[in-house]
Amino acid sequence: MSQQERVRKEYKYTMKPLFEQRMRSLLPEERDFAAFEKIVHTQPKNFIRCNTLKISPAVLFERLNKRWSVVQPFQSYPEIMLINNALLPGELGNALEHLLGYYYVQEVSSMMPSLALNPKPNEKILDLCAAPGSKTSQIAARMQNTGTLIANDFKLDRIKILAATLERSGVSNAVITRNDAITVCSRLAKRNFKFDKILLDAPCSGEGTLRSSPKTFLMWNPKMIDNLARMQKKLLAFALKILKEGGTLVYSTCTHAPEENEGVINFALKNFPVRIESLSLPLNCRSGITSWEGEEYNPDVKKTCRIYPHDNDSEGFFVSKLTLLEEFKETLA
Amino acid sequence: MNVHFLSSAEKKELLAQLEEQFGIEELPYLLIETGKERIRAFSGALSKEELLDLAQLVNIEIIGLYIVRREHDVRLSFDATQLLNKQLKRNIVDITDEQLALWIRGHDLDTSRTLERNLPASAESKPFSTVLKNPKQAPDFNPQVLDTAAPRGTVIIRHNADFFGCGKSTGSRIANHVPKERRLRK
Repeated sequence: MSQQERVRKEYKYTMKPLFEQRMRSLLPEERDFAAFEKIVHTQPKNFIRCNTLKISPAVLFERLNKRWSVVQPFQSYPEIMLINNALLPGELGNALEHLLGYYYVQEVSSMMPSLALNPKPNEKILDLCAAPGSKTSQIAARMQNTGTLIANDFKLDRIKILAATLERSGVSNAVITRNDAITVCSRLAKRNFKFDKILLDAPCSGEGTLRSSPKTFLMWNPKMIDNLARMQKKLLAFALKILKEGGTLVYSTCTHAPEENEGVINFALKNFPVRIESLSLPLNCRSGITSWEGEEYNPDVKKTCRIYPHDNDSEGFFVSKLTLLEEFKETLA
Repeated sequence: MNVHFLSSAEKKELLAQLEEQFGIEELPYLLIETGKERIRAFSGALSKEELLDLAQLVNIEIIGLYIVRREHDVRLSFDATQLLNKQLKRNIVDITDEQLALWIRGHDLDTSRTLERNLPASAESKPFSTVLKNPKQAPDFNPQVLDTAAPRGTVIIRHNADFFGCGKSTGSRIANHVPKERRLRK
């Protein structure tokens, strides 16, 4: 029996052949790919983020550590905590401190885009695809409920989840809007409504979420990637219209597909006055790739960050940070 | 956007109610009344005019945080009792671990037995809280056993240093107002 056949027998879900082929291109060393394949069939670790709007990390740590074995893995980010216990299903979500909004259950790699954005008090920030609100509440906590945070999403059911997250987290500086992201950007641009910082955590094919959402193995298809990449480029182009000169845009996805990651950033570098920034994140990041399936990208896309599950025992993510060098002037039709 | 921004006179009136009921002296927020007599607090930097201007451009669903519901009296939301916890001085009911287990699952509390009344350490101030059985005391309260009923009307529920929203007290029973989505599952 070949190794592939053994893997297929061992796991409930397996990678579709084309997905596997693409991942092998991204991770050409056999050992590297094997580590990836092994970890995506395991449950992710139990990370939480202390909600500093309601409680300090030190106090929360003391409380939770009486019940669980809690670790704060990053000295510079004490709000990030790892629960090192085997937990019952729903145990984290059904704890008293969670009901009180003292912490939010969030996978560690999904905390990275907000850290890259580095929100500060009194800034004007837009979270363009905000639901379910994990990153929005993280941004609000960093803003200390000051400034202005606009959290947008499109579908009403997602807005309800977003609203519940912000309510539980005690976020009082946010305005929740329900619009198509392109519409929001174009309407705000016409009135010259601009932001210091924008988070574009774009809808994506979700290849990075295999551990928490194994159905992605079944749902994955290559056509979806091309369609999403087109939409992501459009979203980024419109988002840049409402960014102040010198402002920061963080573009992130929870996928490994280069078309949805470096391909989108390459498009931005080619068409807009933006500079790509180096990132310093507390997880092991690999540099962005500069070519994919015959297409060469701007060498600067190396500054983007690829987070692979087997490098950090996390989910997979892609994070990049752009600075707008010259403000867009909206031309009247 | 179907909302009403509270005028300074309306805000003053609300604050007077909150001061009388709970001892709250300041609300440094833009206050917005939405449907069902619910008031939300916005701490963001946009003014009323800027929010109205924004509403002309995009579809605004929600502004700020739900903090108060006006009924016969005023009721703080679950999260407002945490947001404003440093200002809360009156009509606080301290509960035991056993009562918390009931409260957080959505049950009413029977307060007809074992009532104690807490008088503040500083005798001149009016605020009081009621303790049920014998929970750990907040350091500035001096428990004295009284055979009076729990305060009537809306009360704030506290367990140690944590606040768990409001309930409606009849003196012998506190009706549970913990929102369903914030209750512990059985």
